[in-house]
Amino acid sequence: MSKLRAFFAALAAVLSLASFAAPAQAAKIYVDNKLGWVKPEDKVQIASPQPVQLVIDFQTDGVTNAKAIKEVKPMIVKYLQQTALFSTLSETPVANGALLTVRFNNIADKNAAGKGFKAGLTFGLAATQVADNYDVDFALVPASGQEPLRAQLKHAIILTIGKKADPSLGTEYKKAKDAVDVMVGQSVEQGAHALARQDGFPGK
Amino acid sequence: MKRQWWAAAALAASLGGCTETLPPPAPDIEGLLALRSFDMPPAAVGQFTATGPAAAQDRGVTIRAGTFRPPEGTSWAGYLGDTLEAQLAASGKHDPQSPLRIEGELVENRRGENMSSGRATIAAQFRVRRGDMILYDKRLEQRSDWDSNYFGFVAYEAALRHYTALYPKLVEQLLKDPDFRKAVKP
Repeated sequence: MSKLRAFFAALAAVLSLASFAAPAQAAKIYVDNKLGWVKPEDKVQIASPQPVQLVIDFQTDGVTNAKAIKEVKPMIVKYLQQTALFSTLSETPVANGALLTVRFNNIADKNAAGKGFKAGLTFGLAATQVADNYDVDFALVPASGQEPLRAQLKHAIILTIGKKADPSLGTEYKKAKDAVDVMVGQSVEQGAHALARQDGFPGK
Repeated sequence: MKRQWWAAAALAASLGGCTETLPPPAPDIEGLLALRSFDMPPAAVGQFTATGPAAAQDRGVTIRAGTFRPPEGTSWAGYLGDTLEAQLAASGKHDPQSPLRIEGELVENRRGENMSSGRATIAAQFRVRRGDMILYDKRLEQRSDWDSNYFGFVAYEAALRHYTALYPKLVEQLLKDPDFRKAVKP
């Protein structure tokens, strides 16, 4: 997400130059359709949802991003609550010691800023595309001393400049914030239900 | 004309300097797992101060035209103490009234970058006390090297990430230190 922010900063700089002479080239933001939402028939129903402690991490290239954690945490909590797989999400330890960790790792395209700069300087004639890839890891310790259940998945946000709309890239969103919200929501929903399908999930 | 004013403002915002304040530290997954892996009674977090050269570097970090600062009302030494406290609290092992007290001095706090690379180092002298008795007194250090970037905003974000990530890593190093675990044993 910080890469997206950097990309948009570069874009703002060059498009602002460009806008003195020519109409700004619109950036388009897509959420990859490969993952999607969990289908209603694939959703797991938990007989007796249990409380769990939640700890999250958001990394860029494997390094914790303190600012991004603050932005993403409310989204993760919102979508986890919507799954109804847990009775409560706590920031402190719960009675049975259940612990859920969720980690997003944003794999950065090191040329993102340069691509944005080039696209802006050429008023969008040098069309460009950047994929913002995410590795998402879930680990759930059902109770103190037990081995964790695990789930891993991948997701992506794609940004284009100077290109026509291309539905093959994913679902288009007008605002980066909305695209990030959907990417986080689909990841959390898929990851949580992947855990809930495993034996040993609390309250099953 | 209106569009040109907007464009000028966007240009200034993207190229100009800024100062931002970090949010309070959040508990870290590795630190939490480390705390769950051994028996430790609840502890208080004592004073965290900066000494020596680190005292002069205890407020903000400026990278190119941008500056980031620790949360309102704290210093980098305080940020280290708050990072430890967040870890202990998330593990149910923080008790401000506990006779077991962890305190520290930030003794090294360096960072810098050029167009191609960046480096940051922090080091702290940690002490664990029970009453007047010192149970642990050790210097621990974390360093990070990273690729920087020609673009200032990319360089700034990379420096912010790598520098601030040193704090939970230093706390994790403390929590995994066998000498620390021996010192705080119930």
